[in-house]
Amino acid sequence: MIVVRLDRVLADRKMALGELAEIVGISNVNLSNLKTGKVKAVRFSTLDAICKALNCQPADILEYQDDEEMN
Amino acid sequence: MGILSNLTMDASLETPGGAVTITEEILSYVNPDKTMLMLLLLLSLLNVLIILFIIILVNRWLANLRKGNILTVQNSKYIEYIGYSFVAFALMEMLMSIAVSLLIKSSIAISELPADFREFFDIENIGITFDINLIPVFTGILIWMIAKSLKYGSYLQDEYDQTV
Repeated sequence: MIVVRLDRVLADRKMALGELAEIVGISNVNLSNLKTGKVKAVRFSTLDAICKALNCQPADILEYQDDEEMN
Repeated sequence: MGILSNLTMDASLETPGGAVTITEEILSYVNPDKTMLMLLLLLSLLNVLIILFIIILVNRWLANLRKGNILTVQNSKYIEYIGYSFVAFALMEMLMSIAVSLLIKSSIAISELPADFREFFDIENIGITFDINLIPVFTGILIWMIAKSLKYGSYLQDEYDQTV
């Protein structure tokens, strides 16, 4: 499964979730859902905006973990 | 003989094709079967309940539409149940037709009635026919198909809503 490490990158950049939401142009709720892994999909345009705002790579935010390893 | 025996009347029915007078003698051949009458009333009540159920479902669907919830699983379920109700309505119509035929056969001594009376009301050869009205059946099936399409639509809507 894909694990979202947005909280880690936000902490590194010392940026609040609300601030990032405003820069990216999505709601706090949606960004919070993304951070907690409750969303089903992310548009490339959103990923592009997040990476631009945080000056990072998609691999910094998204991580793949085998379901069996997690269990 | 109950209610009918307390009536004192002579009624006549006239049509371009002829006229017939309902006399006390004719009424003496009418003896309503209470069991069949109750069954017919029950079927009529069920018919009304089905129609009420359809109205309630439509009302709830419209309420959801007013709130802006268009493509939802709940709405597709409401429409699916409306489809089932249409089919049930067609079946009820057939059962009521059978019940009416049975009531007439059991309540009226048809063979004792005057020939012109039997001819006028065309009750000589009342039989039980399993005749189902296919229009509500096809309408119900069509509505069911639309409900399934809307269910898929609600799944797509959900996918879209959960995409950031």
